[in-house]
Amino acid sequence: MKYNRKVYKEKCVSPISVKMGAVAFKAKCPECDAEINVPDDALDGEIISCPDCGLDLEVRFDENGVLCLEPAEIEGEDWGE
Amino acid sequence: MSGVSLIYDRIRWEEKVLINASRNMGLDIKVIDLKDIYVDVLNNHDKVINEFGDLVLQRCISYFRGLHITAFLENAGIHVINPFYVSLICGNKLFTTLALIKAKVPVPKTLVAFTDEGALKALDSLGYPAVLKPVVGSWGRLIALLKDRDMAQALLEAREEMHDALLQIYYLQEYVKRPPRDIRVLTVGDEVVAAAYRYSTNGDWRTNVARGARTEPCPLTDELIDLALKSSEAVGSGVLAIDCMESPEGLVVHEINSTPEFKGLYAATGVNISEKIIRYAIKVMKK
Repeated sequence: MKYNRKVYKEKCVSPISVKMGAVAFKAKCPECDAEINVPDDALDGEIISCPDCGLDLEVRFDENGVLCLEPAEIEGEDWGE
Repeated sequence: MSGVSLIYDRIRWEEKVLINASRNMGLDIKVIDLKDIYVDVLNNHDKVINEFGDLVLQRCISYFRGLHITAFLENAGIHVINPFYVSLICGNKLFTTLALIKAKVPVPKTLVAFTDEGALKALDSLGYPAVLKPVVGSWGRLIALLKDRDMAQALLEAREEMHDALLQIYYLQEYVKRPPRDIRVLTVGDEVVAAAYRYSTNGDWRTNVARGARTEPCPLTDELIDLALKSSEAVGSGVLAIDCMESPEGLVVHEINSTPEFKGLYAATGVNISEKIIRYAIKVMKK
């Protein structure tokens, strides 16, 4: 069971419009708000980790080339509050 | 001052602000990733204190991880926020409902069945639409709005196929005719700290912030304060998020969370919740 993608897309604070191969840029971790440097060669589907909270994030480009980070870990059935 | 630790399995926004608040207040907090450690259940009190301090803020995202480490710590004589009994009750919707009924807190009409056939009978008595919830589970996961008998049959059959013992306990509730929102009230000990409305969005009927719900401040009326304190006391008191709904007959409590997320509540009210929690922790430690 994955995170609700719709929710995390909205939580993604700064989905910056970049085309593949653009320069490195900063994004915000949807979990803890930390600033994350996304490497310029990041590919759709690549997993990067947040330096603050350690959350694994999947790099996603939508059909317009807009980047968003989404949590990659599988959610446990007893997770949450 | 003696030591405090915060146990986590993932650092969310809430854990960050709790760690920052405690450091700002001069508290030396040890931050422990539960995924990295093991404990020896034969260790004596001194050894456990040495590792965890006199008080532990248990903030695991996984309910069962948090509950089991709490059992160990409390047995070794360490204060845990929240205590084992509180986490045990709040982690299970049926146990919570029963504790609330005992304390005369209004709850939605609730039926419980133990097989899919039993559940269908219960639903015939309850009427449609009705709500089916797992007794253990969060963020609105697997909570289903059953609109008619055909839909109920299909969902109950799907549940049977999941082969999960806890999902074979059928907790069924009337669909409360509420506005498209519920109210989250945060209590810290015997203080009601803040309240916010949570509006469902994205076409979802559920009001979980984890599902994208929008929060707005909610006035702390006497009725709300009284209900929150009674609910908190009913489950043993601690740091709790009490979720209630505005039914046509008045407020009803449907859930209490013992490892609350309060990002939405903070965004809506600006109340410094983390500082209040740390102050409470210090008070508990001195007891």
